Amino acid sequence: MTDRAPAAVQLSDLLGRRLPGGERVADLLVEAPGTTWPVRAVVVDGTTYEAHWQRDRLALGAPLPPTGLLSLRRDVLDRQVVDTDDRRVVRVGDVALRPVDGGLEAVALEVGLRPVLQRLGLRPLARRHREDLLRLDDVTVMASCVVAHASHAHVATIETHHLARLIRRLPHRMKHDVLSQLPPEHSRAVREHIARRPHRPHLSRFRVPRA
Amino acid sequence: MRRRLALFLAVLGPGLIAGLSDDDPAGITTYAVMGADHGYALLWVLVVATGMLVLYHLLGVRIGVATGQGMIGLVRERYGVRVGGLILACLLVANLGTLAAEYAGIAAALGLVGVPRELSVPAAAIIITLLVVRSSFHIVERILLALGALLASYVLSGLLAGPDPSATLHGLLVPGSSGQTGALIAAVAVVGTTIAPWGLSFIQSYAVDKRIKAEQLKMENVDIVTGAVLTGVIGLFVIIACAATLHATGTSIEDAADAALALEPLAGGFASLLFGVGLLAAGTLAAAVVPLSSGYSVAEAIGAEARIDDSFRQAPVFYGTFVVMTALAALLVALPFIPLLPILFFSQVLNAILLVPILIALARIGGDDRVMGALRVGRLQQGLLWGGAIGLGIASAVLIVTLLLGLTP
Repeated sequence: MTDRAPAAVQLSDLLGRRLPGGERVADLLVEAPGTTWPVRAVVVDGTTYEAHWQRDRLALGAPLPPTGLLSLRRDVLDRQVVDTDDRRVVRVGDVALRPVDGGLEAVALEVGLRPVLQRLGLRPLARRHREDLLRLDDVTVMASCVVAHASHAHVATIETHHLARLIRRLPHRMKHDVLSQLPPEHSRAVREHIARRPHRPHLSRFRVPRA
Repeated sequence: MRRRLALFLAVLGPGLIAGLSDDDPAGITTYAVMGADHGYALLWVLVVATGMLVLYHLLGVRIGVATGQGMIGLVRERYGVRVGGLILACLLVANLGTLAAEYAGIAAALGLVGVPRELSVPAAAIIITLLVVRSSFHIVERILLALGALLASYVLSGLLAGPDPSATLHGLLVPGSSGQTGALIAAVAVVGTTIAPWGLSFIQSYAVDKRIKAEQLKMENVDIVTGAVLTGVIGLFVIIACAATLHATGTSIEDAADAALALEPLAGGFASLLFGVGLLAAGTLAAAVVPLSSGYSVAEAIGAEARIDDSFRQAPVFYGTFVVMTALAALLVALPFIPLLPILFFSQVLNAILLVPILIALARIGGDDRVMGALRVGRLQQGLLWGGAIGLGIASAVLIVTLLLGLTP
């Protein structure tokens, strides 16, 4: 987690907003990974355009062909985050963005109750909760989830059994995603720990004794 | 064979618990009233309702296994926080009304042996809360399964009532009507009480909590079908117990406790006692499951996923929801100046309204390659799911109109 200062714009404030031409913003596409994710394109009515930030609002540039950019709404917002730092599963509540050089860039993922309350329009209630941000260079967006791994150096300091406990709770696809993000030695140690004490719900309790 | 048995026992739980908790006091009341008013004629409706229960419970567990997420978490991921929040809010209000009905059932069952509701309801609420909050997943699951097993008392009660086997078979296999007013409403009420939003939400989250894997799905399907069929069998015996006794003598009843009392002179004190025991078990099982379902939903919606194995400190949102829901429902039932009937009425309407969007969302997610991957449901099952959603949509509309017009099944 990070205590970075609040960003100027939230993704949820931009999604659905009408542009000067009357179109609605459907998604923002960013270039990831990195410490910040520059917003390269905006999706409007199913078409992708270059994204610009002018006078505190989004503006459309030239149309772009489909690209390999990361979709903030489809791939990040509301996705589960496996937080190996706090050893818990949370959700991306919002994406913090800030204006930079005529464009926008994502600077952090916000998790916890605060962004949920904000998006529900309950801002006074939201202000009572502390901001819980994940730095972008501490996360990896996977097919099934977002993995927050602090830094590899930090992950190495998390005790193997704590990580194994978290990973054991995950469904197979997410488990694979998380393990693939760990440094090889640590990943092997966690796998061995899980193999030594596999999760087999109830099996041992109901095992039928051999005749 | 032994290994297969061990594997089956390992996954046993979600289907049985979610299925049997559908036979809650409101369900038992609906079955009992149907048996008393319409005899054996509408038993086939139970077969249809059981088939639908199998279909949607299979889907719920399949989605849970494929995504590792409960229903509300998935709705938030797919449709955003506002839709998720709206469905959650409706679900919580409906669950509160349903939970109050479960405690009213417990109070009615214990009232049969003279325990006042001012004592029975708080005691039940405290015992259930302590068991769930302070016990591990294994212990909670075993308690819930044991409570489910107690519902077998309805089978004994039904047999003691001396049902007519040929009329039972005819009622089960030949769709028809009793020819009396209210037959359609009774049929819709039976389907509506069998498939409830909280049950669908529970089975998916519980399968995730139990960490059922894709390779265990075949065995888990056996658990689901067994649970749903047992749910139907228990409903069947409640209906035939009342058909053989109350319908035969033209006795009308208002609720399940009435049925237990009315059975005594007609089928004997033991049959009546068994009926009361079943009502207590049904109320207690559902009074544990409904707030668990609510806890899972709230935790998923705000992104604080939790499990029954977690401690209160690890999962304050999950257990906090359980405690608050239980306390509110117990208060609604225990305090004499709070009118319970409008609350139950409103929760039934809300459940009926909620069911349709939830079934449509589940059918869409189940058929989505990107979400389900290799576990995507086949075309035949998808057709059945959409057919079921449309059928239940019509049934829900009939139920809502009926309730709003003040007609009762």
